[in-house]
Amino acid sequence: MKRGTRLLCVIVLCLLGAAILIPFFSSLVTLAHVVDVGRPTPHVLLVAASIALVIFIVWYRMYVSVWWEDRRRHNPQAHDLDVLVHRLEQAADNAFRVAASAEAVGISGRRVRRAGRVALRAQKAVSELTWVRRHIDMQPPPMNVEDMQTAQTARSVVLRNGWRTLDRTLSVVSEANALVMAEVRHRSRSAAATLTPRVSWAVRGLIYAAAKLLPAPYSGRYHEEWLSLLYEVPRRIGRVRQTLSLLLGTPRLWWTLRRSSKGDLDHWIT
Amino acid sequence: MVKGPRMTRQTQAVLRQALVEPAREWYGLEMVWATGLPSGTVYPIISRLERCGWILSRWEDPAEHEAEGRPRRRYYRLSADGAEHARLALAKARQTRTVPVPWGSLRPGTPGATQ
Repeated sequence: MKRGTRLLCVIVLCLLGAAILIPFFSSLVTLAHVVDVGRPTPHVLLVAASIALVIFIVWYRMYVSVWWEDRRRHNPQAHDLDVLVHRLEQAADNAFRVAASAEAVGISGRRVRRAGRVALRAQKAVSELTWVRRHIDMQPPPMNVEDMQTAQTARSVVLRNGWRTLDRTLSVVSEANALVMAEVRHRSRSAAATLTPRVSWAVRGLIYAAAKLLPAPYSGRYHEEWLSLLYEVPRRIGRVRQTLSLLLGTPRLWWTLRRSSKGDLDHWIT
Repeated sequence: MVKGPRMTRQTQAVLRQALVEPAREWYGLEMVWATGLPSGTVYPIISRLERCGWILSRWEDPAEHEAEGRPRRRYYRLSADGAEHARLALAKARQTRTVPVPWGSLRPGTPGATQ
């Protein structure tokens, strides 16, 4: 916090304190005046009203806190239910989304079908849990121990089923999601491979030069073969490495090709 | 008959890889990735093996590469004789692999003395 802001806060707090303390002392003075005069002045009425307001606020806060405590004591699983409902809703949404994207991508595997089924099951569990949650809100607190135990057991069963459904949904969603993502990645890679000219002109030039160093009958074949090789190397650094390696290997290849017999030539070139 | 290729370690690696599935066709980059050798090493070896007749090659059919939208590949495969020769050559190379000489045997003896 900056120094100026801190100073401003102190001034505001001082003013507030003064605003509280000044009426308090003035009310004491006024009460003494009432006792002396025998009738209430407007100032006294205002002070009485503010005191009543403060008492009401304190009472209300106490009442609300007591009510919350009471509710929590009688419904210990309410908070868990809230959390579970929220997480299940999210999981069901994710499962539906994954199933929809799988359909859009065109995957129709076992895992994707399972994701769709699980999404439906999660949604059903959500509605069940929401119903139980409303029931908890509307139900009066149990009057005896037996009622309380029965209610708690029933809720525990629902909660346990809900958590199990959530676990199953999450695992299936992650599996199906991985499948969809792998397919999407594969397709985007293929699309990129189809659409983008990936071998740069510099690499093409080097390959052309390397192929030209070979004996003339083999030059065309190796030029085409090496270009197709570089076309399938995924990263630029990999293509550069392969190009350098091919350049370094060209003298050895030239030596091998130079020694090859004339009779084999036709088979080689075609 | 052309003399067999020199069985260097790299040649052995290429042959061993090709012999995993002798009937299967493969292309240069596939062999590069499978053996971990640089392409500048693999291509001279392939050309040597091809010169010996151990390996046959052909260009990819247009229908295959046009469908995938890429340049055509040169496919290679072991010939029937080549597979047999390669097996024998690898077995021979394994037998004649030099055994490391123990340090004690390198000590010079007295001239004329029998050990």
